[in-house]
Parts: sequence; C-alpha cells; structure tokens
Amino acid sequence: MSAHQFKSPVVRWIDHRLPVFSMLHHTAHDYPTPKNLNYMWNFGSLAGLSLAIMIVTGIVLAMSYTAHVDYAFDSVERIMRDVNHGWMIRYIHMNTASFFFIVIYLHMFRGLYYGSYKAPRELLWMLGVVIFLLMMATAFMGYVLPWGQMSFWGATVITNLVFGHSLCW
Amino acid sequence: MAKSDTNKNSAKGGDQEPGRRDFIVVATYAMAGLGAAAVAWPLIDQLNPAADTLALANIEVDISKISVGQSITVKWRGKPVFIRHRTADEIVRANATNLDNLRDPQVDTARAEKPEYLVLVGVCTHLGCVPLGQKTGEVRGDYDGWFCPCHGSHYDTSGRIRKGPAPTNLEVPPYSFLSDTVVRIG
Repeated sequence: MSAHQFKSPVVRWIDHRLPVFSMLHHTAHDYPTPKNLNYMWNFGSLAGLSLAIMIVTGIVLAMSYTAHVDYAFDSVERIMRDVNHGWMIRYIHMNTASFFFIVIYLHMFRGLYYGSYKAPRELLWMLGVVIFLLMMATAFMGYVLPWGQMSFWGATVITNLVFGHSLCW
Repeated sequence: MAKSDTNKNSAKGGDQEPGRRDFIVVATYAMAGLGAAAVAWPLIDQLNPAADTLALANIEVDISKISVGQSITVKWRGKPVFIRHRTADEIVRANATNLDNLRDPQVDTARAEKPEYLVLVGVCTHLGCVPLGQKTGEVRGDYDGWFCPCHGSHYDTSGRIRKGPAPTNLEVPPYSFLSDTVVRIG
C-alpha cells in the first residue's frame, strides 16, 4: 500500500496537483530508520539546523550592516554595541559557522568510514562535494564582510592562493 | 492479572481523568512554546530603536551662555530647535496680545515654561522652511519674532502665527529644565 490519504481537503487538493505532501510523507514518515544507524547519522540533520540558524541570523545582521568599505567595520561595531541583542545575534552567527564546519567534517567522516558514497549513493556524495565547496565559498565571503584585519588579509591570501602563481599555473 | 484496566496514567476516550502522561505532554508543549518565544524575541527586538538612536531622541542643552535677546539653534531628532532668551519687552508684548487676533490662539504662558526662555521647533508650519530671526541682523518680521522667507509667514515673540499662510503656531517640543542652566528637549 503506498497511497496515504490526507485528512485535510486543502492538502489533498494541492497534493493531487503537485504531490509534495505525498513525497514528504514517503520520505520522512513511511521510510523506516535503518536498524544499524548510530549517532554519527545525526550530523547531517545538525548541519541542516546550522544552515537554518545561519540564514536567520544572517538576514537579521544584514538589516543593520552597511556594505561600504568605509562604513562596514563601524556598522559591525554598532551591531555589537547599540542594536538590541546585536552582540548575541552576531556571536550566534559567527560561532554557528564554526559549528557548521565541525558538524560537516564529522558528517564527511561518517560517509568515508561507513562507505556512504558507495552505490547507489554516488550522485548523493558528489552533490555533497558541491555543497561543501559552496559552503567554503560562502563562509569565506562572510568572513570578509566586517572588513577588519583578518577579513582583508584572509581575502588577500585566499585570492592569491586560488588565482596566484603558487599552484600549477 | 499484572496489568489491570485501572490505568490512571493516561486518559483514553476522555472518560478518565487526565493522568501523568498527559501532564508531561502538555508541560512539554508549554515549555517548547516558551522556548520558541525566547528564541524569537531577540530577533524581533533587534528591529526596535538601537541604543544610539535612542540617545539622539533627547538632548540636553546648556543655555547659560545665551545672553538676553540672543537666540541659538540646536539639532534635535534631525530638526532645528530655536531657543531664544527673550528680553523683558518681548515677554510683555507676548502676554499683552489679544487672543482674538490670533489665528491659532494660545497664551504665552502655555508656550513657555519659564517666560525668559522660548523653546520652539524651527520649522514653519506652512510648508516646512526654517524661519529667519535667529541670528542678529536677520529679518524678524513685522511682529519681531520670526519671518519665514519662503511664503512670508510672520511669527510673534511667542512664536505664534500672525500674518501669512502658516496655519498654526511654531511647535513647542516637549522639554523640561533639569536646572537653571540646562534644558532637556524630548
């Protein structure tokens, strides 16, 4: 038996036209958790949670940030001192970024150790590599935004590393 | 019979009284709700005025250096505020005005907490220009108060509109005297 009947007529109307609810139900409700999983399988969902926190705190910080070379650093100081709870939101954002990476490395370790990349999960693994690269690029860009010493020199070093002459071209 | 049907730990079908499990479930949902509110509050409160914005909301002005007959202009919430140290003659003329002659009748005592100091928002109530009359030598208009050069509104020594298109008197901002020499505006 595969078709689950939803109680709400609104949900049934949508699902009949665009089966998102059926898909979600099949993926997250029907699919049983394999018996052999352990706590190492938590890190993927923790990474998703970290992403959600980064997005929410990031949007809130963007409301008070000024994206201009002369004003960026002062806008971050203002967030820290004047904006209500700004200090907390900024610290949550920057520390969640660190936790995001810790969690992702543990997640990748799980994948390597338990062979999560093997068939039929090759494409899944490759998408994970892509997400990892995007994550690093995003984190790098975020680090530059306060335009402090670390921001500037970090940007200089990474730019030279990627586009400089230290590698093979 | 190890398990009897007198199971008081959960309500089934609504005919048994709420048990311990129901209490725990309700308490958990309540704590989760409080937790969600605690997380959401800082994210919403950060939209409220920041500390530096609130600091500009009030200003304290030292008025001890204003000599009699002199006026100064200060910036408050982005607007000019006129503070005039009135002469005795100006005060007498402000009080002596017949209220029937005023477009926006107001007694001078209602506009100045201490008659020697007049505190007004320096924005013409017609269309928003800054009236002249603050600096020595500037035109003060026919009533010796302020004159708006944009469309010719004349204000008297109490800042009340007398002639010209402005509909109301110059606004008196909220202010209080913290001491004889310091006034707090806002």
